[in-house]
Amino acid sequence: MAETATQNLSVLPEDSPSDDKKPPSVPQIVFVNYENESQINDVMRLVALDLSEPYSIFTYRYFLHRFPDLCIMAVDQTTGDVCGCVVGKIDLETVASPTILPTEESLDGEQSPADQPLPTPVSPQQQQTGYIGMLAVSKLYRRQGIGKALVKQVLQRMEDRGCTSVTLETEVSNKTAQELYQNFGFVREELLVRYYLNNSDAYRLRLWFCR
Amino acid sequence: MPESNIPASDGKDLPETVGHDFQPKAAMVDITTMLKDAASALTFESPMIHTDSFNLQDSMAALEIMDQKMDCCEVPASAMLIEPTEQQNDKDERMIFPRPAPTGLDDVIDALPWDELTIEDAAFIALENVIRLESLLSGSSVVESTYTCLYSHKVVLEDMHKRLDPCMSLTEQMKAIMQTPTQKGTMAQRSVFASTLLLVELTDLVRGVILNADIYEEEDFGTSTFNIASFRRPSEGFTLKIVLDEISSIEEESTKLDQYDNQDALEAIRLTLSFQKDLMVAVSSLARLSGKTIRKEVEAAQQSIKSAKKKLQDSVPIFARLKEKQSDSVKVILRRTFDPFVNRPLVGNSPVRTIVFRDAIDATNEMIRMVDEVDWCVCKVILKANSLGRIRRMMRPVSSESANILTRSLLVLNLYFDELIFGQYSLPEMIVRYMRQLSHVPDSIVNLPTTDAFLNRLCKPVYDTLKLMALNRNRQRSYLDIMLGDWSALREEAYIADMTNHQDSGSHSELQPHFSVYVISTTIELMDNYVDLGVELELLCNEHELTIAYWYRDFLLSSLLTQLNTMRRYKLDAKKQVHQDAEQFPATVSGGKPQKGGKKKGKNKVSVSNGASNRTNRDDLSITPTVEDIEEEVEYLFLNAKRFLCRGIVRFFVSLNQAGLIKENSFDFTSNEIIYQKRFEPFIDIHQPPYLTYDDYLKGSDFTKLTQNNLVSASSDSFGVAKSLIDQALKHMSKLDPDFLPIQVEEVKQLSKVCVANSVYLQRLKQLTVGGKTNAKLTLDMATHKHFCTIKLG
Repeated sequence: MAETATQNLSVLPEDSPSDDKKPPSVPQIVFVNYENESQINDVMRLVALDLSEPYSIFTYRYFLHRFPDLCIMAVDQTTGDVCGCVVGKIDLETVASPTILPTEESLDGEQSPADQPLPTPVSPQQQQTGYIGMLAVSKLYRRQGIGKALVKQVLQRMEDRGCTSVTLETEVSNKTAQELYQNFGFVREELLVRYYLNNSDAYRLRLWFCR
Repeated sequence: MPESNIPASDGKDLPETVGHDFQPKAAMVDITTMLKDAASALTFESPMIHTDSFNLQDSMAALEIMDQKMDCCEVPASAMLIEPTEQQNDKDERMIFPRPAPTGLDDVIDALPWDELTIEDAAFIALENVIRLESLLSGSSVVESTYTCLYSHKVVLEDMHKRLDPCMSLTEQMKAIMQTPTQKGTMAQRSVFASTLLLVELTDLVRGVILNADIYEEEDFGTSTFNIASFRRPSEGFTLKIVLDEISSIEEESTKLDQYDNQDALEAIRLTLSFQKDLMVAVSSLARLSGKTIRKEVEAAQQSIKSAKKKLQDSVPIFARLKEKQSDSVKVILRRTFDPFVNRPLVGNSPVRTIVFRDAIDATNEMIRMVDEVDWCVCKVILKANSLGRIRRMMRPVSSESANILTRSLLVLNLYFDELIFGQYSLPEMIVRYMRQLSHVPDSIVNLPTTDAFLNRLCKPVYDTLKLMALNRNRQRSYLDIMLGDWSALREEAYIADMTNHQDSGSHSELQPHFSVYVISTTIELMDNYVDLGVELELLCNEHELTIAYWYRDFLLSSLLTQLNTMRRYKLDAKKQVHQDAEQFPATVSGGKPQKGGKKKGKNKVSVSNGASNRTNRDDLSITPTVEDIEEEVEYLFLNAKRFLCRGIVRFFVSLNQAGLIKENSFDFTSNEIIYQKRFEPFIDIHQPPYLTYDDYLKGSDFTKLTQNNLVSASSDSFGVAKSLIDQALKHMSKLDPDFLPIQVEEVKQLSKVCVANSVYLQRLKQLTVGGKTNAKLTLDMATHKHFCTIKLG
């Protein structure tokens, strides 16, 4: 299985245009793209072990077939084991933009509120929003920066594809995951009560890219 | 279906060894080429060979059949054991299909206990029904709660009814006419029937209330979602009659059984049935209030609720005794009659939520709490809240305590009906009285047509601010986002109304924009609530975000207090004027009472304008503060205290930053400025108060010119002022009706604790700074008060 996972896989390039976009390096770990169905079992195995929500094979295929470039796997170079993966997608989201306020030049400080020009409303827009569906790292390989590296890479790709923000859900009790994402600048956007099948609550986190 | 490249076969192409009567042991045919040809003919639009009765979704579902995680009908065999034995927990445990829904009492799979039911069984079945009811009210769907009781299924109830109905045969009907009714069945059977009927009746009632109130947006947990047929009651009042008959039958039986072992069981059944009956009567009544008898009906409902609560409380020790001596046979009966998996086939082939029931004691205590909520959240509010200020104060705890969905639905259902608030008060009148309470709007303004028009315009937004408090805390924040836009737009209209009124009234005095001030102050309250909820829900949770939140709240509360001070000034000026006039012209100004002779003059002139009638000056201008004045004063003091608390916390955080104990984060993909902008995006559209930018925040929180000592002292002073304001408010609170308090006594103590604790930790910070230490452990504690953190330094 491990051999299948590493055959004919393209390892992510290390010589990227700038340091910011360079894939982070973790000793003995290479990061590879998802390329075909032969890798799906590795992804399913990792995710099923760690995440409480059950997913069918169709859910995995929905992500992986439509957005293969948003699935990145971490492979141990010495053993060939797939030890981590991240799976994402991109959706179109309708966002109500804030009203355009009058600029300073258009305002006269002595005008009464009634005389000030009214704000111009802007119609709702469709924007690309990334979504991180699954992130899993084998227990034996944790605390080495693999999760952080996977998230960084998938965020980079989502930004490169024009996303304005990225969302995900994580269990309220999962402090480790929240800390990981908050270090990237994700903030808690909403509390989702009884979101998971085990009746636990979740936070929806969101990161807004700088534009 | 795509055109197939597979050649049609009439059997002639088959190898000789394979005939039409195909024998399994005959040679196999290699169909690889055939399959490859078929697969290559498939397209994205037509992804599989299918028929009308079997499509892609069916094939996907079929592949998940018997998958332990995905197939909702894969149930661990140990969970279905009737006889309790050691359960297996390993992942290789055998999975089986859950039992189907019963087809009647004599179900072919497993007949439901009936002939063998004892009084003890009936008592525990009644208790389990209460647990199901509690689960339903806590948010489970009907398939996860009510209909896990096998007796509650329609066919079983019909069966029970048939067996227990004394009038089914002609002889029995004759006896009923002769008024010699016979009771069929045993007491245990009748009790189970009554208890289950009540469970189903309450389920339908609760569902109806919640759907009509329309504040619950999650899945419809009604029976129609899952195509469960509900037992049709033969007549109006059927359930109540059955239950009342059974209760009196039990009471009669109890008198005969002095020292009988079953006394506890009988009493437990009686109390449980009475509790459910009282709850049903109260909720039914509160769900259809109307007409002139509202207060009587609510008072009667309140009595029923109190009775229900008492009965449930009384049942707790009895069930505790029964549980101690519960026999194994009862446990078997319960496992045969309650099955959490029976409805699995109804939820489709998908993973299902874990069904969890509280244990009996927890469920009963939770049920007692929910029933009590109906009293103080619904009945008391309808009966006592007679002004807008009091409605807000009484509804605030409903919001902050996250009352049960049934309670909040009943409150919303009754908030505005028959075109009146709580079916009793005109909303425009209430708004005017409230504005007068805060700032004294003169008659010359109140009685103008423009005022009428604007008040009518205000009704919906004001109603929304009340309804907001009936939503759960999470939904309130989302809804506030929308409401802020509405209130921001109202500001323009308020200003126009003020200007028009000023001109129409012919007044030469300075413009007092009463409506503008009122709209702005309400807008600021909503904004403050928005930020506050972010802290309470822990959406804003780290040091940096909390600093910003409290900084913004300091600004909002200061703006709100400015508006309130303006209103208080108007009122004070008006009072002074009235009393000056009274001293100068005592004969002509009566200060609020009608003149003799029936003709009303001066400030008591009753306007004939529609909707403005009865809006006369009352004793709201008397020198002696009224009870409502004191209530508003207490609210004002707490707002001020909270402002200083926010200020103190901000300075505390800044001190920590200056001491190097907290550091600002920087990010690869985003920035603190972007986060700030997005966090406060709902405020961008609001002109007053003006939106504060991230630069404003940086400047406003820049205390670099202050030394660490001065900053710590300033923070400590803020906590000190907050504490003294709280103490001041506490003195006034003792004079007030507890139901009208703007803040509960418990919360006051919490706020005090936060002030004191933060002051103590500030001293700790001082010590650390003097000692040159920069690595103390920092903890943000929201346990003392969910809106104001205690910053603990280890």
